Amino acid sequence: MRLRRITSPYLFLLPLIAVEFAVILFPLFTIVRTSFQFYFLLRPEKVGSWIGLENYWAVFVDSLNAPLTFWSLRNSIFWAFANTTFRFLLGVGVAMLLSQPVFRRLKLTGLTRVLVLTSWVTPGIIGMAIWRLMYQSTTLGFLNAALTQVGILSEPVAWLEDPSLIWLSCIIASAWKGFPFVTIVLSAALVTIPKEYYDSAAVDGASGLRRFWHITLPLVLPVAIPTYVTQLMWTFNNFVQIHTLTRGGPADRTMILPILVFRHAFEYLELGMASALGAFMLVVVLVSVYLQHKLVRYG
Amino acid sequence: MTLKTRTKDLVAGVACLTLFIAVAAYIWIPMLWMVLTSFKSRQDIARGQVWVPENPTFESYVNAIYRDELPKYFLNSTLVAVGVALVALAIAYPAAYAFSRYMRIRGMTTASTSVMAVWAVPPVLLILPYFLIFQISGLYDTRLGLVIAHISLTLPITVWILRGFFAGIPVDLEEAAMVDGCTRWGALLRIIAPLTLPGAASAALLAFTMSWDDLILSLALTSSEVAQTIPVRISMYFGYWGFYWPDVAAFCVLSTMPILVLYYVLQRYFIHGLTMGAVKR
Repeated sequence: MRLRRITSPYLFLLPLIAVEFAVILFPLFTIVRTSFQFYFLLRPEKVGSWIGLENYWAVFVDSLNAPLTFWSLRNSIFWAFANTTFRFLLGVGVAMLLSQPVFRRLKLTGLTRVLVLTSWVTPGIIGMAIWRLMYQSTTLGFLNAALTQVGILSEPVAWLEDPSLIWLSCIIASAWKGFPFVTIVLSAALVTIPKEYYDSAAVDGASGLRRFWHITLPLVLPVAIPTYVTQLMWTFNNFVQIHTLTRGGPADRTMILPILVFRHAFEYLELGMASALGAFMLVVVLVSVYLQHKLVRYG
Repeated sequence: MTLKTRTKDLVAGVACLTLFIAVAAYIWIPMLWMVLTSFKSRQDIARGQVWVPENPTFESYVNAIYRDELPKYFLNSTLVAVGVALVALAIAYPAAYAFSRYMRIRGMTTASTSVMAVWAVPPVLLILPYFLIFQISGLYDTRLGLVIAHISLTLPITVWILRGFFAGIPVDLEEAAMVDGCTRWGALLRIIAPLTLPGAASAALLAFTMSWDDLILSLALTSSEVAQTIPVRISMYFGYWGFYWPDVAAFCVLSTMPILVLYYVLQRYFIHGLTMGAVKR
């Protein structure tokens, strides 16, 4: 009886641990191994032989690949921060908007949430296909058609090719899919703040801005920070959005690490180099998760 | 209430509603544009017909269903996603229970942290080992293989959501049942399980959605219509120059509709799941 009481918690966990081991840990171990092996699939006779750090050298030092590797790393970091910050601010803004009394008074709270979350539920590739259509330069593209008709633009703009617009276009499309999640989570956090806090602050004569700074912000931060960090991670890891919008182009301008790993593996069939790059990505992500865990103490 | 505060309230209300209409336009115009485009005919496009198609046609829908074989891909996506949801639930449910009830036992914190760390693993990494392992084991280009691969993505979020739901159920309930002679398993099945049904629904729905959403694993691990999913088929359109937009639009509209219907019918569980994972800790 006593033995059972001690072991049963672990028994509950056993399936999860076993499956995680099989579907995550073992594959990750395989990646680290293949990153030290020759894995160019077009030369099957040599595949699997140990070549030390050659894959890492090819990806990070060799002048054939290294510039694109570091360019993608730079893009990935820029994309993750710029995109997450934009969608986060938009998400928070909309959450604050939906918490205004007018929506409650008109009994619109439920409806607004459902409407907002629609774009989040739409599968990622379909959302990005929709935006690729919106950005077309022909009359098929809504933005160009609308803006030229209104007279804001004199001629169509290549939203997904013009170097000065391309990241902005990608961010607007990506935020469309991503911001509702932030809004829903933050709305739930805003609801938990007792109304009395605001009432007594109002009695004491605190302005709207001060109420936000001294009541809303500190109470929402424990939810907002982890949400920002997970969004940052998801954006850094996300493949489908840039892949669907630009395929990393034109001329590798929007190349990011996930797409580069995919290209090494399935276009060049260089699984060894892809693994080396992948192992590097893993280190980047795990180190940032660790740092975030150490630096930001929440909850 | 004085007239002055009432006018102030009214102005604020109108301003809020206007802002919300702008947000709604940002979300809805692209979706409506996709629907409009799917009905455009070649004549409309040739003549530069911008807004409402003058000669609307169902040709693109016929193409999507018959020529591009949407039902096959739809079946693949649905079977894989349902499989993922059920398996993820079966594995995550007992684990989430353990996490919510025995957190003080040795090793639990480590186990929980490492499960959550899986959240950070970039899916693009997993395609390489899965590709190699599936080639050898015969799981390449099968729906079963995709279920296994997608499980890796969905487990952390299902555990996270379910743990939130378990945390909301007082331990006293089970203890009372156990005092009355129930075993722990009996208490779990008779008392706790019915109470966590909404949580299980939320977790299963999010796992389903994540599996449906996945492109990268499906793209790398399938090569034919035997297992290819909807996202893979849509990405194939963009692989060729000169694809015909109304066809893509019709394919997207048809394959999104069931997901949106599912969402509108079960929205309570979606929203509950999302907020449960993040707010209750």
